[in-house]
Amino acid sequence: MEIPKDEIEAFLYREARFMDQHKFVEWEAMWSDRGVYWLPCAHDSDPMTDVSILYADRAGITIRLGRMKSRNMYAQDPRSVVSRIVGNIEIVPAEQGEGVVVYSTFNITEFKRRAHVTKQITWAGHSEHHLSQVDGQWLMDYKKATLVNSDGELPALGFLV
Amino acid sequence: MLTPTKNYIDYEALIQEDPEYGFRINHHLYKDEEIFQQEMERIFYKGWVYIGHETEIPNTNDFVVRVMGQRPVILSRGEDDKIRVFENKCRHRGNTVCQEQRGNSKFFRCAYHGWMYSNQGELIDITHASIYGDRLPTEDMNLLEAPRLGFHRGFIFASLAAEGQPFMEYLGRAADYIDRYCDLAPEREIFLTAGRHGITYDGNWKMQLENLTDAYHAEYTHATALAAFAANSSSEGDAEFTDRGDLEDPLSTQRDLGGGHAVLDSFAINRSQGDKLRFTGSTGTLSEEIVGKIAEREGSREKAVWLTHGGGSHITVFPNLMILWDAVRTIQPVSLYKSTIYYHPAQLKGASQEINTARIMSHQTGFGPAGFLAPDDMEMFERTQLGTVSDTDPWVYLNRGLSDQYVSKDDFGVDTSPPNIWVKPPNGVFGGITNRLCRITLNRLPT
Ligand code: FES
Ligand SMILES: [Fe+2]
Repeated sequence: MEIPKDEIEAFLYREARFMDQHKFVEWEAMWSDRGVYWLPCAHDSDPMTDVSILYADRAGITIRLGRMKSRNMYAQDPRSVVSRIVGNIEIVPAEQGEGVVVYSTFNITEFKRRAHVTKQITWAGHSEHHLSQVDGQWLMDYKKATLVNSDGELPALGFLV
Repeated sequence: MLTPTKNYIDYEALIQEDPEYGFRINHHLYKDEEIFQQEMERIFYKGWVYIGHETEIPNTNDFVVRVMGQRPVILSRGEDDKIRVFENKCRHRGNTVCQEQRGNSKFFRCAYHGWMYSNQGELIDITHASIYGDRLPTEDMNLLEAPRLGFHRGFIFASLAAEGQPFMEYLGRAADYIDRYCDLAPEREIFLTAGRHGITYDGNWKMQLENLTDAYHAEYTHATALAAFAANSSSEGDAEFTDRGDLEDPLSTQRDLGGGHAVLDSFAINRSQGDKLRFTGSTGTLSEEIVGKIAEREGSREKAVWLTHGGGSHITVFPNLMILWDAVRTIQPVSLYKSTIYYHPAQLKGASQEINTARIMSHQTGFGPAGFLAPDDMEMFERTQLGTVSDTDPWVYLNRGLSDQYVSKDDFGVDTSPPNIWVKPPNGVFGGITNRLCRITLNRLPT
C-alpha cells in the first residue's frame, strides 16, 4: 500500500487542533464505530487487568465527551487554555487490513486559571494511532497515548490528550 | 533551628459548637504549618498508619516503597517471608537506599558508598570497613524498622512507636466494615494487583478525608458525572443533571465508628436496589455470578445479597485509608498545601476475570486523574484551600444534620452515632473528621 503521508499528518494536526480547542463534536467525528481510546498507567500494562488513567470503548468515548461538553464539569471551569506540538510522526502499514499505524510524540502546555491563581502545566508523551479508511475518510480505530509520567502522580487531567 | 518549636495549639478554640453559630471549625486547621507538623508527629509517626496490602508483595523478596507521613519507607517481604516496614534511609549518610517503586530483591545497596542491607533490614556489608578502625557505632546500624505492624484481611498497618494502642483496638469497628467489603469476594479476599494511579491537589490532606463522608456535595460537584452515569449524555448540548436521586434520602447515613473512623453507610440505599451489584459494571449477569457464588458459600442468598450491598459504602479508616466501591484509596500528605490520592483497584478473589475487569473499568471511569468524579473533587479541595487565605471570617461550617441527629443501629446491630456528618453525638465526642482529628491530636499531646 502507498502510504498517503500528507493526509495522515494532516489528520493528526487536525486532531491536535480540535483537542486544543476543546472541539468535542468535531473530535468525536474522527472516530470509527469500533474506536478504543486508552491512556495507560504503565508502558507494559494490560487494560483488562491493570489500572489505566483512561480506557474507553466507542460508547464510553461518547459518554465521556457528553460530560466534557458541560460547563458543570468543574475541573474545567473555566476551561484550560491548551497548546500542543505533535511531531516525530512515523507511519507504518497495519499488520492486518488496509489501515496504518501512526507513532507520534506530543508536548502540551496547559494554562489554568482559578480565581486569582494561575498554573502552567506541561504534559508530554507518545501516541499510537490506528487509522483506517471508511468511505475515503481516515478515522481512528484505536488511540493509545502514554504520558511520560503515566505512572506518576498527576494533577487532574480535564482536556483531551 | 535545631528542633522545631512546639507551639501550643488550642484546638478546643479552633472547633466550636455554639448555640448561636452552630458547629464550626476554624480554617487555620488547613493552613497552619505548626498544626501540620503536629499531625505528622502525633498521627503519622506515633499512631497506626495504613501502608499497603499483602497482595502487593505476594512473593518472597517483594517490596514496594511508600511514604508514612512524610517519611519514605519500604514495605518488604523478606527472604524469611516475614513482612517488615523500614525507613528508606541509609544509616551512613542518610541516602534513600531504594529508588524503585516496586520490585523483588534480596538486598538494598546504598549507591553512595556501597553499604548493603538485607531485605530483613540488617546491615550486612560496610565497604572498606577496616578504615573505620573502632570508630563505628557498636549498636545496630540496621535499617530503622517500624516496631509494630498490624494485619487485618491483608491490609498492613504500621506504627513507628514501640508502644501505644494495640492494633485491633485501634481498628475498632472499622474492622466490621472491612470484613464485609472483603467478604464480597467469593473466596473472601481482595487483591490489589492491578497497580495504582495517583492524583494530586493543591490542598490540605484532611480535605479528602472529610470529603469521603460528605454526601452533601455529590449532587452539585458531581452533577455531570451522575448525568454521565445515568448514560443520558447525548452528542449534542450539555449533559444535564436531571435526576436528583436519593442523595437527600435518610437511607444514606454517616456513622461515627470511633477513633476517627467513619462510614458513609449506603447499605440501606443499596438494599432498596435489590440484589444487584452497584458500582461493578452493574450488569445483571455479573451480579448473578457474585450473588450465586456467595450464596453457595454462605448457604444463604439473603446473606449474599447483604454482602453485595457492602461495596457501596464509603469506609474511612483514620488517618489515611479509604475503601469504597471498586478500589482501595490512600491519602498522602505531601506538605501542608499539597496532597496525593492513590487508588488501587480491588479485585475479588474467586470472581471471574470479567467481573474483575468490570471493576477496574468501573473504578477508572470514576476516579484517577481523568475519572468522572475525582477531578471535580480536586477542584473543590483547591478552591476550599484558596478560601483559607481570607481571615476576615475564618470559620467554616460543617454542621449539616445537626438538627436531626440520632443514634441508630447499623447493619451489624450496633448502635452508632451520629446519622449525619459533623455533629455532636450524645457521648460528647464530636463526629466530624477534622474534629475527631483534632481530638485525637489533643489526646496525644505530650504532657
Ligand atoms: S550514604 Fe549510604 S553508604 Fe554512604
Ligand atoms: Fe466527591
